[in-house]
Amino acid sequence: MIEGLFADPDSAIRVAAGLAGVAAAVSSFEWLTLRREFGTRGAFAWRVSGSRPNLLRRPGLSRALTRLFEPPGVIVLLGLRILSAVLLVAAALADAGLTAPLVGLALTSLALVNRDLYAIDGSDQMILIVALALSVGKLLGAESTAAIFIGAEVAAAYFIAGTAKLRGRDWRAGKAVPLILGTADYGLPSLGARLVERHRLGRLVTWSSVAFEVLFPLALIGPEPVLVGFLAAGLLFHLGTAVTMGLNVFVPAFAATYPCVIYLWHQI
Amino acid sequence: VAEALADAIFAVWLAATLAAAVDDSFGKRRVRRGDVLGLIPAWSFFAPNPGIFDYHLLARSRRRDGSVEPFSEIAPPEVTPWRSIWHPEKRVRKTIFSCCEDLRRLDDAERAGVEYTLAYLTLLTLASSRVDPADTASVQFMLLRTGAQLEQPELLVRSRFHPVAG
Repeated sequence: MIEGLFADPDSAIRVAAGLAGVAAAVSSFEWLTLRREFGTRGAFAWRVSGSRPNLLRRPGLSRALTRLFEPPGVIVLLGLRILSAVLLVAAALADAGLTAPLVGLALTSLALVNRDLYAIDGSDQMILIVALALSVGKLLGAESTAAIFIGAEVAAAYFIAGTAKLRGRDWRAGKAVPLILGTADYGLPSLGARLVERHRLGRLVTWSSVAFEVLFPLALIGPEPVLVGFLAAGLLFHLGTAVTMGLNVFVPAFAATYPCVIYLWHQI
Repeated sequence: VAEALADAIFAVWLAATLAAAVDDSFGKRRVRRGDVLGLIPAWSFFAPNPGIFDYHLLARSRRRDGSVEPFSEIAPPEVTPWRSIWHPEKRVRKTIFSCCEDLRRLDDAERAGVEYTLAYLTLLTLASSRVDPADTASVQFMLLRTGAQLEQPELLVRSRFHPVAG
Protein backbone atom coordinates (compact mmCIF):
# COMPACT_ATOMS: atom_id res chain seq x y z
CA MET A 1 0.00 0.00 0.00
CA ILE A 2 2.76 2.48 0.82
CA GLU A 3 5.55 0.85 -1.14
CA GLY A 4 7.75 3.69 -2.36
CA LEU A 5 5.61 6.36 -0.68
CA PHE A 6 7.88 8.85 1.10
CA ALA A 7 10.82 6.50 0.59
CA ASP A 8 12.94 9.54 -0.30
CA PRO A 9 13.40 12.47 2.08
CA ASP A 10 12.46 15.12 -0.51
CA SER A 11 8.88 13.96 -0.94
CA ALA A 12 8.42 13.42 2.80
CA ILE A 13 9.79 16.89 3.55
CA ARG A 14 7.67 18.54 0.87
CA VAL A 15 4.40 17.14 2.22
CA ALA A 16 5.46 17.73 5.84
CA ALA A 17 6.33 21.35 5.05
CA GLY A 18 3.05 21.92 3.21
CA LEU A 19 0.96 20.57 6.09
CA ALA A 20 2.97 22.53 8.65
CA GLY A 21 2.27 25.60 6.53
CA VAL A 22 -1.47 24.91 6.64
CA ALA A 23 -1.36 24.46 10.41
CA ALA A 24 0.64 27.66 10.89
CA ALA A 25 -1.65 29.68 8.62
CA VAL A 26 -4.81 28.61 10.50
CA SER A 27 -3.15 29.20 13.85
CA SER A 28 -1.82 32.65 12.85
CA PHE A 29 -5.15 33.83 11.45
CA GLU A 30 -6.75 32.73 14.72
CA TRP A 31 -4.19 34.78 16.66
CA LEU A 32 -4.91 37.79 14.44
CA THR A 33 -8.59 37.77 15.39
CA LEU A 34 -7.40 38.21 18.98
CA ARG A 35 -5.11 41.17 18.21
CA ARG A 36 -6.88 43.34 20.81
CA GLU A 37 -5.54 40.97 23.49
CA PHE A 38 -1.91 41.79 22.62
CA GLY A 39 -2.29 45.36 23.88
CA THR A 40 -1.05 46.55 27.27
CA ARG A 41 -4.44 45.75 28.86
CA GLY A 42 -5.13 42.49 27.01
CA ALA A 43 -4.95 38.81 27.95
CA PHE A 44 -1.60 38.44 26.17
CA ALA A 45 -0.03 41.73 27.30
CA TRP A 46 3.74 41.52 26.83
CA ARG A 47 4.35 43.75 29.88
CA VAL A 48 3.04 40.78 31.92
CA SER A 49 4.20 37.71 30.00
CA GLY A 50 7.58 39.35 29.34
CA SER A 51 8.17 39.84 33.06
CA ARG A 52 9.09 36.20 33.65
CA PRO A 53 12.67 35.65 34.74
CA ASN A 54 14.94 34.22 32.04
CA LEU A 55 17.44 35.37 29.44
CA LEU A 56 15.12 38.19 28.44
CA ARG A 57 16.34 40.03 31.52
CA ARG A 58 19.32 41.40 29.57
CA PRO A 59 18.43 45.07 29.08
CA GLY A 60 19.37 45.36 25.40
CA LEU A 61 17.57 42.18 24.41
CA SER A 62 14.61 43.08 26.57
CA ARG A 63 14.13 46.40 24.75
CA ALA A 64 14.34 44.70 21.35
CA LEU A 65 11.83 42.05 22.37
CA THR A 66 9.44 44.67 23.72
CA ARG A 67 9.52 46.38 20.34
CA LEU A 68 8.92 43.05 18.61
CA PHE A 69 6.26 41.67 20.95
CA GLU A 70 4.15 44.72 21.70
CA PRO A 71 1.73 45.98 19.03
CA PRO A 72 2.30 46.80 16.23
CA GLY A 73 5.41 44.55 16.29
CA VAL A 74 3.52 41.41 17.19
CA ILE A 75 0.97 42.04 14.42
CA VAL A 76 3.82 42.39 11.91
CA LEU A 77 5.26 39.15 13.33
CA LEU A 78 1.95 37.36 12.76
CA GLY A 79 1.77 38.82 9.25
CA LEU A 80 5.25 37.48 8.48
CA ARG A 81 4.25 34.08 9.86
CA ILE A 82 1.19 34.00 7.61
CA LEU A 83 3.28 35.07 4.63
CA SER A 84 5.84 32.33 5.37
CA ALA A 85 3.10 29.73 5.84
CA VAL A 86 1.31 30.63 2.60
CA LEU A 87 4.58 30.69 0.63
CA LEU A 88 5.49 27.34 2.15
CA VAL A 89 2.22 25.73 1.06
CA ALA A 90 2.61 27.25 -2.41
CA ALA A 91 6.23 26.08 -2.69
CA ALA A 92 5.28 22.57 -1.53
CA LEU A 93 2.53 22.38 -4.16
CA ALA A 94 4.63 23.92 -6.94
CA ASP A 95 7.75 21.88 -6.26
CA ALA A 96 9.66 25.11 -5.60
CA GLY A 97 12.37 25.90 -3.05
CA LEU A 98 11.29 25.46 0.55
CA THR A 99 14.22 26.88 2.47
CA ALA A 100 13.31 30.57 2.71
CA PRO A 101 9.66 30.07 3.80
CA LEU A 102 10.73 27.30 6.18
CA VAL A 103 13.25 29.56 7.89
CA GLY A 104 10.66 32.34 8.03
CA LEU A 105 8.10 30.03 9.61
CA ALA A 106 10.65 28.61 12.06
CA LEU A 107 11.78 32.04 13.30
CA THR A 108 8.28 33.51 13.63
CA SER A 109 7.01 30.34 15.35
CA LEU A 110 9.96 30.41 17.73
CA ALA A 111 9.12 34.00 18.64
CA LEU A 112 5.43 33.26 19.21
CA VAL A 113 6.05 30.15 21.30
CA ASN A 114 8.29 32.21 23.57
CA ARG A 115 5.93 35.18 23.72
CA ASP A 116 2.77 33.56 25.05
CA LEU A 117 3.65 30.64 27.28
CA TYR A 118 0.20 30.25 28.81
CA ALA A 119 -1.72 30.37 25.53
CA ILE A 120 0.30 27.93 23.44
CA ASP A 121 -0.42 24.23 23.09
CA GLY A 122 1.09 21.06 21.60
CA SER A 123 0.18 22.03 18.06
CA ASP A 124 2.31 25.20 18.33
CA GLN A 125 5.19 23.10 19.62
CA MET A 126 4.86 20.62 16.76
CA ILE A 127 4.70 23.35 14.09
CA LEU A 128 7.89 24.84 15.55
CA ILE A 129 9.65 21.47 15.66
CA VAL A 130 8.75 20.60 12.06
CA ALA A 131 9.65 24.04 10.67
CA LEU A 132 12.88 24.36 12.64
CA ALA A 133 14.07 20.80 12.02
CA LEU A 134 13.38 21.09 8.29
CA SER A 135 15.15 24.47 8.21
CA VAL A 136 18.22 23.02 9.90
CA GLY A 137 18.08 20.04 7.55
CA LYS A 138 17.87 22.27 4.47
CA LEU A 139 20.55 24.72 5.58
CA LEU A 140 23.03 22.00 6.58
CA GLY A 141 22.23 19.65 3.70
CA ALA A 142 20.89 17.02 6.11
CA GLU A 143 17.33 16.57 4.86
CA SER A 144 17.32 12.85 5.55
CA THR A 145 18.39 13.31 9.18
CA ALA A 146 15.78 16.04 9.64
CA ALA A 147 13.00 13.77 8.38
CA ILE A 148 14.24 10.94 10.60
CA PHE A 149 14.31 13.30 13.58
CA ILE A 150 10.73 14.46 13.00
CA GLY A 151 9.52 10.86 12.69
CA ALA A 152 11.31 9.94 15.91
CA GLU A 153 10.08 13.08 17.70
CA VAL A 154 6.41 12.36 17.03
CA ALA A 155 6.83 8.73 18.10
CA ALA A 156 8.47 10.03 21.30
CA ALA A 157 5.66 12.57 21.75
CA TYR A 158 2.96 9.90 21.67
CA PHE A 159 4.96 7.49 23.83
CA ILE A 160 5.75 10.12 26.46
CA ALA A 161 2.11 11.25 26.57
CA GLY A 162 0.89 7.65 26.83
CA THR A 163 3.23 6.64 29.63
CA ALA A 164 2.43 9.87 31.51
CA LYS A 165 -1.24 8.89 31.33
CA LEU A 166 -0.44 5.51 32.89
CA ARG A 167 0.66 7.40 36.01
CA GLY A 168 -2.73 9.09 36.34
CA ARG A 169 -5.44 7.49 38.48
CA ASP A 170 -8.34 8.64 36.27
CA TRP A 171 -6.57 7.33 33.18
CA ARG A 172 -5.88 3.93 34.72
CA ALA A 173 -9.46 3.70 35.95
CA GLY A 174 -10.67 4.37 32.41
CA LYS A 175 -12.57 7.49 33.49
CA ALA A 176 -10.38 10.24 32.05
CA VAL A 177 -11.86 10.68 28.56
CA PRO A 178 -15.51 10.82 29.73
CA LEU A 179 -14.51 13.35 32.40
CA ILE A 180 -12.51 15.51 29.98
CA LEU A 181 -15.33 15.40 27.45
CA GLY A 182 -17.69 16.45 30.25
CA THR A 183 -16.06 19.90 30.31
CA ALA A 184 -17.02 22.75 28.00
CA ASP A 185 -13.39 23.77 27.49
CA TYR A 186 -12.16 20.47 26.11
CA GLY A 187 -15.29 18.46 25.47
CA LEU A 188 -18.93 18.20 24.64
CA PRO A 189 -20.71 18.02 27.99
CA SER A 190 -23.64 16.00 26.59
CA LEU A 191 -21.27 13.42 25.07
CA GLY A 192 -19.18 13.34 28.24
CA ALA A 193 -22.26 12.69 30.38
CA ARG A 194 -23.34 9.86 28.09
CA LEU A 195 -19.90 8.27 28.29
CA VAL A 196 -19.88 8.59 32.08
CA GLU A 197 -23.16 6.64 32.14
CA ARG A 198 -21.83 3.97 29.78
CA HIS A 199 -18.75 2.98 31.81
CA ARG A 200 -17.58 0.25 29.48
CA LEU A 201 -17.62 2.47 26.43
CA GLY A 202 -15.91 5.25 28.40
CA ARG A 203 -13.24 2.80 29.57
CA LEU A 204 -12.76 1.51 26.04
CA VAL A 205 -12.26 5.01 24.62
CA THR A 206 -9.88 5.97 27.43
CA TRP A 207 -7.76 2.84 27.16
CA SER A 208 -7.76 3.01 23.34
CA SER A 209 -6.17 6.47 23.50
CA VAL A 210 -3.58 5.33 26.04
CA ALA A 211 -2.80 2.16 24.06
CA PHE A 212 -2.48 4.09 20.80
CA GLU A 213 0.00 6.51 22.33
CA VAL A 214 2.11 4.00 24.27
CA LEU A 215 2.31 1.52 21.40
CA PHE A 216 2.88 4.06 18.61
CA PRO A 217 6.66 3.39 18.38
CA LEU A 218 5.77 -0.12 17.17
CA ALA A 219 4.65 1.54 13.94
CA LEU A 220 8.30 2.23 13.19
CA ILE A 221 9.45 -1.35 13.49
CA GLY A 222 6.34 -3.33 12.57
CA PRO A 223 5.30 -4.61 9.17
CA GLU A 224 3.48 -2.32 6.74
CA PRO A 225 -0.08 -3.05 7.98
CA VAL A 226 0.97 -2.08 11.51
CA LEU A 227 2.39 1.23 10.26
CA VAL A 228 -0.71 1.97 8.19
CA GLY A 229 -2.95 1.01 11.12
CA PHE A 230 -1.19 3.35 13.55
CA LEU A 231 -1.16 6.27 11.10
CA ALA A 232 -4.86 5.79 10.32
CA ALA A 233 -5.59 5.57 14.04
CA GLY A 234 -3.53 8.71 14.59
CA LEU A 235 -5.48 10.67 11.99
CA LEU A 236 -8.77 9.46 13.48
CA PHE A 237 -7.51 10.34 16.95
CA HIS A 238 -6.68 13.93 15.96
CA LEU A 239 -9.86 14.35 13.91
CA GLY A 240 -11.78 13.06 16.94
CA THR A 241 -10.08 15.50 19.30
CA ALA A 242 -10.73 18.33 16.82
CA VAL A 243 -14.45 17.56 16.70
CA THR A 244 -14.99 16.77 20.37
CA MET A 245 -12.33 18.90 22.07
CA GLY A 246 -11.81 21.77 19.65
CA LEU A 247 -8.13 20.96 19.10
CA ASN A 248 -8.36 21.95 15.46
CA VAL A 249 -4.74 22.82 14.63
CA PHE A 250 -3.47 19.50 15.98
CA VAL A 251 -4.83 17.78 12.84
CA PRO A 252 -2.53 19.41 10.24
CA ALA A 253 0.30 19.93 12.77
CA PHE A 254 0.59 16.24 13.64
CA ALA A 255 -0.35 15.00 10.16
CA ALA A 256 2.68 17.00 8.98
CA THR A 257 4.91 14.56 10.82
CA TYR A 258 3.40 11.40 9.31
CA PRO A 259 5.33 11.51 5.99
CA CYS A 260 8.48 11.59 8.12
CA VAL A 261 7.23 8.61 10.15
CA ILE A 262 6.84 6.69 6.88
CA TYR A 263 10.30 7.82 5.75
CA LEU A 264 11.80 6.69 9.06
CA TRP A 265 9.99 3.34 8.72
CA HIS A 266 11.57 2.86 5.29
CA GLN A 267 14.99 3.58 6.79
CA ILE A 268 14.50 1.08 9.60
CA VAL B 1 31.12 18.78 8.59
CA ALA B 2 27.69 20.36 8.12
CA GLU B 3 26.00 16.96 8.11
CA ALA B 4 27.86 15.91 11.24
CA LEU B 5 26.74 19.13 12.90
CA ALA B 6 23.13 18.42 11.89
CA ASP B 7 23.41 14.88 13.26
CA ALA B 8 24.68 16.25 16.57
CA ILE B 9 21.91 18.89 16.77
CA PHE B 10 19.14 16.37 16.12
CA ALA B 11 20.63 13.78 18.48
CA VAL B 12 20.88 16.30 21.33
CA TRP B 13 17.37 17.63 20.59
CA LEU B 14 15.79 14.18 20.71
CA ALA B 15 17.79 13.14 23.79
CA ALA B 16 16.71 16.33 25.58
CA THR B 17 13.06 15.65 24.71
CA LEU B 18 13.34 12.17 26.23
CA ALA B 19 15.26 13.39 29.30
CA ALA B 20 12.66 16.11 29.95
CA ALA B 21 9.95 13.45 30.06
CA VAL B 22 11.36 11.73 33.14
CA ASP B 23 9.61 13.29 36.13
CA ASP B 24 11.69 14.65 39.02
CA SER B 25 14.92 13.67 37.32
CA PHE B 26 18.26 15.48 37.18
CA GLY B 27 18.01 15.37 33.38
CA LYS B 28 14.62 17.05 33.36
CA ARG B 29 15.81 19.86 35.65
CA ARG B 30 18.91 20.43 33.52
CA VAL B 31 16.95 20.45 30.27
CA ARG B 32 14.28 22.80 31.60
CA ARG B 33 16.93 25.17 32.97
CA GLY B 34 18.89 25.14 29.73
CA ASP B 35 15.93 25.35 27.35
CA VAL B 36 15.83 29.14 27.17
CA LEU B 37 14.30 29.12 23.68
CA GLY B 38 11.42 26.75 24.46
CA LEU B 39 12.59 24.10 22.00
CA ILE B 40 11.95 21.12 24.26
CA PRO B 41 8.24 20.39 24.42
CA ALA B 42 6.38 18.86 27.35
CA TRP B 43 4.42 16.12 25.62
CA SER B 44 1.95 15.42 28.40
CA PHE B 45 -1.42 15.93 26.65
CA PHE B 46 -3.79 15.90 29.65
CA ALA B 47 -1.56 13.59 31.70
CA PRO B 48 -1.10 12.38 34.31
CA ASN B 49 -4.02 14.46 35.62
CA PRO B 50 -6.63 15.02 32.94
CA GLY B 51 -8.33 18.42 32.75
CA ILE B 52 -11.67 17.40 34.19
CA PHE B 53 -12.78 20.85 35.36
CA ASP B 54 -13.87 24.04 33.66
CA TYR B 55 -12.23 27.08 35.18
CA HIS B 56 -14.16 30.31 35.41
CA LEU B 57 -12.66 33.77 35.80
CA LEU B 58 -15.11 36.28 37.22
CA ALA B 59 -14.41 39.94 37.85
CA ARG B 60 -16.16 42.94 39.30
CA SER B 61 -15.23 46.57 39.52
CA ARG B 62 -15.52 49.22 42.17
CA ARG B 63 -16.50 52.44 40.45
CA ARG B 64 -15.03 55.80 41.30
CA ASP B 65 -18.23 56.73 43.18
CA GLY B 66 -17.66 53.72 45.50
CA SER B 67 -20.42 51.47 44.14
CA VAL B 68 -19.50 47.88 43.38
CA GLU B 69 -20.66 46.08 40.26
CA PRO B 70 -21.79 42.43 40.40
CA PHE B 71 -19.35 39.71 39.32
CA SER B 72 -19.48 38.76 35.66
CA GLU B 73 -17.61 35.98 33.90
CA ILE B 74 -14.78 36.76 31.50
CA ALA B 75 -14.44 34.67 28.34
CA PRO B 76 -16.71 31.86 29.58
CA PRO B 77 -16.15 28.38 28.11
CA GLU B 78 -18.42 27.70 25.19
CA VAL B 79 -18.86 24.96 22.65
CA THR B 80 -19.13 26.46 19.18
CA PRO B 81 -20.23 24.19 16.31
CA TRP B 82 -17.32 25.22 14.07
CA ARG B 83 -14.51 24.89 16.60
CA SER B 84 -13.17 21.73 14.94
CA ILE B 85 -12.04 24.02 12.10
CA TRP B 86 -11.83 27.52 13.54
CA HIS B 87 -11.23 28.04 17.25
CA PRO B 88 -9.45 31.28 18.20
CA GLU B 89 -11.24 31.46 21.57
CA LYS B 90 -9.15 28.55 22.80
CA ARG B 91 -6.17 30.88 23.33
CA VAL B 92 -7.84 32.96 26.04
CA ARG B 93 -9.41 29.84 27.57
CA LYS B 94 -6.03 28.08 27.55
CA THR B 95 -4.49 31.10 29.27
CA ILE B 96 -7.11 30.95 32.04
CA PHE B 97 -6.75 27.15 32.30
CA SER B 98 -2.94 27.25 32.52
CA CYS B 99 -2.92 30.10 35.04
CA CYS B 100 -5.37 28.20 37.27
CA GLU B 101 -3.27 25.05 37.05
CA ASP B 102 -0.17 27.07 37.99
CA LEU B 103 -1.93 28.69 40.95
CA ARG B 104 -3.21 25.33 42.18
CA ARG B 105 0.32 23.94 42.16
CA LEU B 106 1.70 26.66 44.49
CA ASP B 107 2.87 25.41 47.87
CA ASP B 108 2.11 27.26 51.09
CA ALA B 109 5.27 29.34 50.98
CA GLU B 110 4.67 30.37 47.37
CA ARG B 111 1.03 31.12 48.11
CA ALA B 112 2.12 33.95 50.41
CA GLY B 113 3.54 35.74 47.39
CA VAL B 114 0.79 34.76 45.00
CA GLU B 115 0.18 38.34 43.87
CA TYR B 116 3.65 38.41 42.33
CA THR B 117 3.25 35.24 40.29
CA LEU B 118 2.96 35.41 36.53
CA ALA B 119 -0.31 33.48 36.64
CA TYR B 120 -1.95 35.88 39.09
CA LEU B 121 -0.74 38.96 37.19
CA THR B 122 -1.99 37.49 33.93
CA LEU B 123 -5.45 36.88 35.37
CA LEU B 124 -5.51 40.34 36.96
CA THR B 125 -4.60 41.92 33.62
CA LEU B 126 -7.33 39.91 31.91
CA ALA B 127 -9.85 40.97 34.56
CA SER B 128 -8.79 44.62 34.31
CA SER B 129 -9.01 44.54 30.52
CA ARG B 130 -12.77 44.11 30.64
CA VAL B 131 -13.60 47.21 32.68
CA ASP B 132 -13.80 50.85 31.65
CA PRO B 133 -10.70 52.45 33.24
CA ALA B 134 -12.28 55.90 33.13
CA ASP B 135 -15.05 54.84 35.49
CA THR B 136 -13.28 52.12 37.53
CA ALA B 137 -11.25 52.67 40.68
CA SER B 138 -10.32 49.05 41.32
CA VAL B 139 -11.04 45.53 40.18
CA GLN B 140 -11.41 42.21 41.97
CA PHE B 141 -11.41 38.74 40.41
CA MET B 142 -12.20 35.26 41.57
CA LEU B 143 -11.56 31.85 40.14
CA LEU B 144 -14.08 29.04 40.32
CA ARG B 145 -14.02 25.57 38.94
CA THR B 146 -16.91 23.35 37.93
CA GLY B 147 -17.03 19.76 36.75
CA ALA B 148 -19.00 16.55 36.80
CA GLN B 149 -17.23 15.51 39.99
CA LEU B 150 -18.22 18.67 41.88
CA GLU B 151 -21.71 19.19 43.24
CA GLN B 152 -21.30 22.96 43.21
CA PRO B 153 -18.73 25.42 41.92
CA GLU B 154 -15.56 25.45 43.99
CA LEU B 155 -13.88 28.75 44.85
CA LEU B 156 -10.13 28.61 44.18
CA VAL B 157 -8.95 32.20 44.46
CA ARG B 158 -10.57 35.47 45.46
CA SER B 159 -8.34 38.48 44.96
CA ARG B 160 -8.46 41.73 46.84
CA PHE B 161 -9.50 44.88 44.99
CA HIS B 162 -6.58 46.08 42.87
CA PRO B 163 -6.40 49.73 41.73
CA VAL B 164 -6.88 50.27 38.01
CA ALA B 165 -4.80 52.89 36.25
CA GLY B 166 -7.13 55.52 34.82
